Amino acid sequence: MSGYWSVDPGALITASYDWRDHADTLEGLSRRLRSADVSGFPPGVSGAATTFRQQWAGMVDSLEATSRDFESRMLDAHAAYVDSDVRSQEAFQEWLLQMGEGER
Amino acid sequence: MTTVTIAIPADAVAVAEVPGDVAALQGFAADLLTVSSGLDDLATFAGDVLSGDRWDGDAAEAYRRAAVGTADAADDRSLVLRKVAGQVEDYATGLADRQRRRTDLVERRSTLVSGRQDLLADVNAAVDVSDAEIDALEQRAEQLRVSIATFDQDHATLVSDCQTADEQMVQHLQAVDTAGEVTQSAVGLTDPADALLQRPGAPGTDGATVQSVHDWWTSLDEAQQQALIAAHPQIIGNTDGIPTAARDEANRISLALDLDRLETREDSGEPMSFAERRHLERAQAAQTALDNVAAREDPVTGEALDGYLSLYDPTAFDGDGAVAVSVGNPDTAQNVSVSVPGMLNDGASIEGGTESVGNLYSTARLADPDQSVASTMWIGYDAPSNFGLHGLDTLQVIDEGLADAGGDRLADFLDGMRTVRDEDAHGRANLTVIGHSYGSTTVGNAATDHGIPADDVVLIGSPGAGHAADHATDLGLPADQVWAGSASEDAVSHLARNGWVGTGLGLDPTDEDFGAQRFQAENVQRGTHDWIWDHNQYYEPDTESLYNMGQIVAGTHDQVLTAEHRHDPWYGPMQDPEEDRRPNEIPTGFEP
Repeated sequence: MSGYWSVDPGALITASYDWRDHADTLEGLSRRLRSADVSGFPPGVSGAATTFRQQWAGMVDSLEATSRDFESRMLDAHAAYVDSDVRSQEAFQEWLLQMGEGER
Repeated sequence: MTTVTIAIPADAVAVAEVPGDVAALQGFAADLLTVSSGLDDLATFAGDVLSGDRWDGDAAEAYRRAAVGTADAADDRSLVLRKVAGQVEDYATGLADRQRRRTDLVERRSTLVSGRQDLLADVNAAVDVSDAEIDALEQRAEQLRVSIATFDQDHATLVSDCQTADEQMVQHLQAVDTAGEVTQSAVGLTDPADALLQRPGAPGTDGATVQSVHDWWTSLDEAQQQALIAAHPQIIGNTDGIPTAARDEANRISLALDLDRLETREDSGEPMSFAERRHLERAQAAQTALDNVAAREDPVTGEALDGYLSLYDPTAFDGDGAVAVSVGNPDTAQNVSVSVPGMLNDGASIEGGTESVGNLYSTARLADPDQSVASTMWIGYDAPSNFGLHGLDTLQVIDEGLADAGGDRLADFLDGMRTVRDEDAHGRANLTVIGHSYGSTTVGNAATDHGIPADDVVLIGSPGAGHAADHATDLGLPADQVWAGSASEDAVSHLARNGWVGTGLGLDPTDEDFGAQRFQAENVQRGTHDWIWDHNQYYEPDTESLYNMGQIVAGTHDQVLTAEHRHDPWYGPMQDPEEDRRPNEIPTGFEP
């Protein structure tokens, strides 16, 4: 670690939206998998195909959950930075105003 | 009297069922490939999360490391699922073969059963027969025994092949149905797609042409092509020089991913941006168009029609979108048409556009039932279509800027169609290019500025045939292969440069000086609606124009109903003899 810890809030919100897009896609893909038609397989294969379909939908779900986690963490971090900036600005502004009143 | 015993073999064994549905399996494989493609997108994104961001330092590095695990998991799953999709596809191909073999066995058995019954009857009837006749009966019995033994062996082989294929498929599926197995199975798997796109001649490489792209594509094996379709569907689906079936497969993946993402967003109730709504609207229009093609029947055979999504880029032209749908496969059909629409058409118009070319398909099929047909609606250029906040390109209808750019794109698309066709297998296509409205200007400019490989050109409802077409032959074809149809009350067709008023979009192709063949295109309801109505009836069933375009596409030119030309003198208003002719309703012979 260099100790240089810099975060661009604009990059955070962009990244959050990107993760959301992928999460939405994965949610749709999971739905696609769960409803995928395995009736084309003969009886000897259809059981394995059904299990396969369910298992893979679960694997896609886990990636969706990870993507949603990234989405919300980036969004939360962005909100926290913005909130912190606003609070800092307000506090500083308030102090400046108080100082100005003292001068008057 | 001597009794002779002739041993007649037992009946051939009953033919076992070969259960399974090839089309359903291909659909399942397509679903797996779509999921694989979506996972590949995630892997690419998560593997390079800092790309394009002005973000560095320890925080950025920590973020990158946090995302890498997701990228690796997505990449593993994408590659493994792509492999399974290929295995399912192979299984489906094998199943189709086994089902064909079963059909053959059923026929063979039927022959054997009736042969055995005949022999049995002949033996039972054989009283006071000669030694020669007895020998003949014994020979028949022996031949039957050999045939039944061969049949039984072939049947046993089929049953065994089915069992082996089923067991293999089960093994393939069970080998990778847990996350741990997938990770293990992905070891050693690499994605060749990116490297393949760097090869000389590939799309996007320096100097790439339609021909070089085709040469590059045909140099790849099936697995490599599948890898590219899954990893780069936007490139494979939208590059001229790639065969239509591959473009369709790739574009359907892109379409499915768009629908999965945007419909999920819509269902969530979260607000969608204007761009996302437009994107979804175009995706849904493309899906509906494909569904509508699948619901249509060939008017000659009654079979369901095949649709091909040969262009799909819903974000093209600032979100107007680019899309093309073919009814029938243009790479194999004998009579092929490409229709170019005009003003107010964009990616969301493909549903109506596909219905139009579906009507044209049916009419051309009925014009010559012995010839196959493929009709494409190509919205591959930025037609003037926008009013309001999201653009004002409709104003550009007064000049040819968009038609010039569209002509360039159209010429490439048509070159691609010619290039990918295997003429040794399917013969040379009879290609008709049809431009409607501003699309006729686009077709004119494609022909004069670039040259197009068409056998016939049709310009309907034309406001002008483009800046460089003073005569039909300027389109690069003999005048009798350039056709023009305009309803007398089609206001847009009155806008050409001829006469004392008109726009700068070129000359009226129905004018006598232009030299094209004019065909009848009046509508029985002419003049009963608003000013634009007559302009939008050319593809409607039971109209003169659709009938005539069907004959042109089918090459039955002697059946085209020709019309007298217009004359638009500089000193006065246009004179159109068609105004005085009573329009006909011509049954086109199909249910739309």
